[in-house]
Amino acid sequence: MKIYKSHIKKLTPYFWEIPKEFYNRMRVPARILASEELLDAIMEDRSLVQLVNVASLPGIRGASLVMPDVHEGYGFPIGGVAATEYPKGVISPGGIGYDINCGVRLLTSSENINDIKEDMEALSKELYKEIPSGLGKGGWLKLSANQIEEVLTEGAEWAVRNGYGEPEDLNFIESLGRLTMADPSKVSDMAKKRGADQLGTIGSGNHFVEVDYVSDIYDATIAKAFGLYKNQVVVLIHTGSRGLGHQVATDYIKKIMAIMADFGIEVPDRELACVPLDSDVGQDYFKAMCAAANFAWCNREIISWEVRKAWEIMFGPDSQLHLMYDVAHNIAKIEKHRINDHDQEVIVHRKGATRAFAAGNPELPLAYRQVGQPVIIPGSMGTSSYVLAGAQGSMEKTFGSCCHGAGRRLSRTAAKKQVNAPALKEKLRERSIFVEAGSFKGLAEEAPIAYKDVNTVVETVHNANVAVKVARLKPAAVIKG
Amino acid sequence: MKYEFIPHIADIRMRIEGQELDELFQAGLKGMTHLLKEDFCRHVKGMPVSLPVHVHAVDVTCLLIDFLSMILSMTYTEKLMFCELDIQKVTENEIKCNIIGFPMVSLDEEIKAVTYHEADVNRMANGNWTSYVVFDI
Repeated sequence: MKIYKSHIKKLTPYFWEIPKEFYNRMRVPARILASEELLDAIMEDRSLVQLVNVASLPGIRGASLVMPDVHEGYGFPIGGVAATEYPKGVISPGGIGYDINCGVRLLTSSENINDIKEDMEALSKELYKEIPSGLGKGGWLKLSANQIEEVLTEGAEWAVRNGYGEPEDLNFIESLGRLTMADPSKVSDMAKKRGADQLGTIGSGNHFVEVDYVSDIYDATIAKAFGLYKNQVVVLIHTGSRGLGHQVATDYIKKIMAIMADFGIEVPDRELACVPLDSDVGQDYFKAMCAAANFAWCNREIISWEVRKAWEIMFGPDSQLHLMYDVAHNIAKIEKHRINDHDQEVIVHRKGATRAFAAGNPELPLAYRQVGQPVIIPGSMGTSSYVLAGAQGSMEKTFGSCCHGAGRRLSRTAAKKQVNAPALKEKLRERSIFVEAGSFKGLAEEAPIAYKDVNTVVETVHNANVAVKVARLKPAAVIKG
Repeated sequence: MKYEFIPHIADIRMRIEGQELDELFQAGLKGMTHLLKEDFCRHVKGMPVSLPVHVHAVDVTCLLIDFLSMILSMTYTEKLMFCELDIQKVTENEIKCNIIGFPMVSLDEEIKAVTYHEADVNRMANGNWTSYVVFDI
């Protein structure tokens, strides 16, 4: 299948459509949220072919969608959103990804960057000491069989109950940090064994802990509601459900692939394997996915505890970190959306896409209900990150979803060829960005050059009124596995 | 028997080749361990550990991916890195073997999963078996 620009219809300056007539297996149109410049870049890889394949899934509603940071994945594109009919439509583990509830959270401090600029190098080393990458060695917390069942059931609450988190954090986590449909008995022993020593670890790849400061405020009212102000130091944490979630996805993709023909389902890529949500296996996967999502929220809560520990060592007990928000970007949720003038419950798959509910949504904490859900968009380590607020356009056009980052533009191999990692580390240091990384190889793979321009991506969602810009963050210290 | 890494926008794509299926599976194992820790199998330390593996699948492509997934999971749970296969039986639907591992060291890269994306075990014109394997990183 080859997609040319002539196949793509311009709906608005920021929305494009491949009509369902393009390919006879499409059940709905495929839509792209992008500026024309980004659309041209998106067309360089196979993202749109994958988007068209998603539009052929049984029970898909409205349109298959990609966000402006989309890039080619396996089966589903990364940066994709698909809503399927509830409960008879399909659920696809590939539409969520192997790293279930990979997500990001932002902690705010009361420190001003100008007061602690000189401490950043020491802070980066302290954070690196406290936060294990877990690569091959696991973390300091080893869970018993009973404890892992509790974590899978309780999510972030487990961390708080055991002294690794603040009770007030829970209110500022998507779904309060706990999906109640979770059933640990649907998670394999292998998955539990993989996760048993991984709480509190970040892993490798694009996962990180980053200290930033607020460089610009775009919307003073919303920034105030989020507790953000200029020059304030904040901390971003990006990681997911670690080996436990990876194993849940592996287990169920295999199971689902073996039985989907029984439901008359054929897919063009094995990674699109899916079954109706109301089938036994569909239910089992959903309950296991919810358990893995809970594990991820617990993980980010415990990493926050490690960050807070390092923070206290550096700045004393009076300098505290508060959770602004924690949001998932690899997950499936049952949500109500308006489709063709009717409110309908759908299974929203977000793979590399952030929930971005607009003001007034009852799922939002009271403190943010008047302004919209915080949307946290990390850039690459040498560039800006952004905080936005979900806007009405997301409810009308993207099933309450937004982009999740800058989006890769170079392969890891190409990045390694082009980047001299020790020189990059030194260059960032000259710009007062202190990097602590497990390996130079990993650093080169995640170099800023490997990513699209986050500013262009964010401008697109802002101009499309999917999420509005609230604040820009600039990095000061980066910790990578 | 050989493996090579080919650029992929977000993840790692590996091409493997072997004269017979046993060589193809061996290439997959060696390539995956190399990705986890460069040249690990050239400089192994510690006592080798042998563990049995038995995998069935509906076709040879699924067999390769399920086999590598199983070994990846065992790498993490057993804290061992596997360098050799001692194959008792391999067909297009079944592999029975012992895998030889050594104590894990700090990894270069964490592989999240072995995906089915682009995997397609087939014979080349020269009679060798080949496939791509895409790892989620």
